[in-house]
Amino acid sequence: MMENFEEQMQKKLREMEYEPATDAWERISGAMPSRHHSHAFVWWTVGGIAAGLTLLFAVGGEMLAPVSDSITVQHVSLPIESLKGEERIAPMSAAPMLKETLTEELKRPQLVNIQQRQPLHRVVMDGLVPLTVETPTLYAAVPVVDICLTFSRHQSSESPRFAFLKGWHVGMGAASVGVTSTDVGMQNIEYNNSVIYMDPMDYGEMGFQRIEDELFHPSSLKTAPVDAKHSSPCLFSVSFYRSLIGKFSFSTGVVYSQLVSRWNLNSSKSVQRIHLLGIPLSVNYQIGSVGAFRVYASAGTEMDVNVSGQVKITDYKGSVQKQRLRSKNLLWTLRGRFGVAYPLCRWAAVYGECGVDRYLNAPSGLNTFRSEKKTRYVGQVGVSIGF
Amino acid sequence: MTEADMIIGCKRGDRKSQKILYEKYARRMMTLCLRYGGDRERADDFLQEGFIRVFAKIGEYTEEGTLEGWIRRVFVNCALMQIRRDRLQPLHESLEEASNEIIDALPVAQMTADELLEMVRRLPVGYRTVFNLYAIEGYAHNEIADLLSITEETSRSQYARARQALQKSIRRFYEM
Repeated sequence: MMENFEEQMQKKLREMEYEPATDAWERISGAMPSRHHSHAFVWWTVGGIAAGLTLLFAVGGEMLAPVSDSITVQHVSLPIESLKGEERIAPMSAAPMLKETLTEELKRPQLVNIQQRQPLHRVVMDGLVPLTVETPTLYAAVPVVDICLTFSRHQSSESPRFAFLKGWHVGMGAASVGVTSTDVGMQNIEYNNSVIYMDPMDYGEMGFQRIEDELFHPSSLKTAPVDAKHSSPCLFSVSFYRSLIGKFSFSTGVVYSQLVSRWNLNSSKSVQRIHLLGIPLSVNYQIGSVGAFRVYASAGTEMDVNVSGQVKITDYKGSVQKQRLRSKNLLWTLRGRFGVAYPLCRWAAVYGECGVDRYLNAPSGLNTFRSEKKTRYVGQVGVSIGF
Repeated sequence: MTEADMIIGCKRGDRKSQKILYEKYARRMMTLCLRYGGDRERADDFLQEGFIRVFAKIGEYTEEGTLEGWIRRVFVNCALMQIRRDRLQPLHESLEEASNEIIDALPVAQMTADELLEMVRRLPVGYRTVFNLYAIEGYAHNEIADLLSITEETSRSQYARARQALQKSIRRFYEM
């Protein structure tokens, strides 16, 4: 009789069939490395990379176009005494058109208006300057490519990057080890319209002698380079993933960002470091799979708080000033991503993402890459490792 | 596509052949995964891990014995590995007197497979694992002891308790 019990159980349960989840095969095939790479695969891969790079550079090219700059206008008083009289204002031989407009009033010029783009100052000499002059600013931009390594704790072989896992999953990520985004501003010096760009820290004490030597010299009349670099943000994040209905999942976590900006004008240098703490919230959707490739998209938002910051200014004499920076305003980002992941093995996958970050900044007074470029186009490649 | 062609294709890593194999055995293996995993979520994970392992190891299949038997063994080993890894519950519980009371097979025969599966799924993981290995897969207690790194006596004890628990469930089922 005892034998019959086991036999009955065996007979009923061994032959029983139970329907797996509808996406079970997709998950299995996606988690398996493809052994055989056809020519088509190679061409699709090469083509995809080329298309991605083209897209990124095309987007970067947009930034090369002249920008009507919206410079923060700030009135600042300069030590007029330092200008040391009219004889140092400008060499007439170097700037003949200035000679025509110089009047008696300008023998002792009044500096009345300074438009600041920290730490570069636009100095406008009253009477000489038509304020309507537009000075195009050219930006040479390198597309931002982040190199990411994401570790995650999850129970199945799926990578959290696939974003359709079951249960909670925790991930940690670090980004921006890669190429920095660089903006190089080329400021036109249009002497015939009497617009002079200068940095008071450079020129204040020495008066206009340096302007004579450097700016009004025929070789530098047209342009004076201003080097402004906003490094790609350095990120460290801890993420939590949770599957939702069907192919949807959501992710949240905590992100620490460090934004570094540098300005160089001749011999003065400024380095600004801003520390942000943010909470992202994204909804992810698994679009489908092409062979072993998994295609997904995500959209969401991130709220950042400026927890601390500092700007360090080194002037031409080598003296250093430090100033604390902190904005109480929340910084919001809208985010969209499109990604492809390819499993290398059961516990590791490579992925590539491209997308857009749109910064919805309240006026914070912080001059970072967020304020320079409201839209950031992002390319991201990384490795996701499960353990 | 014949089974031989399918196996050759799977050994080459051909995705179409793998899908055919999956479609042929997925439902039965899902039942196995539910028996060992207990809940649907865990069973989904077992199924995925099992098929990945099957496709990774299919080169080792020598066609001695049926393909289904080989796949079943791979799945069982995979499930056991995950159960050990998850450390859900120690299997080497203290030995207590466990009854070997005879269970009437007639009520079992009258129950549906779904009802029986539900009862097996509700067993504690230790009982469930030994019960599945002994009663359904047909392993001997000394083999189970090797597989689970426990003593043969523990395996017998676990199995006896699993039977007792099932018996209670069956009685309750008929009392309802």
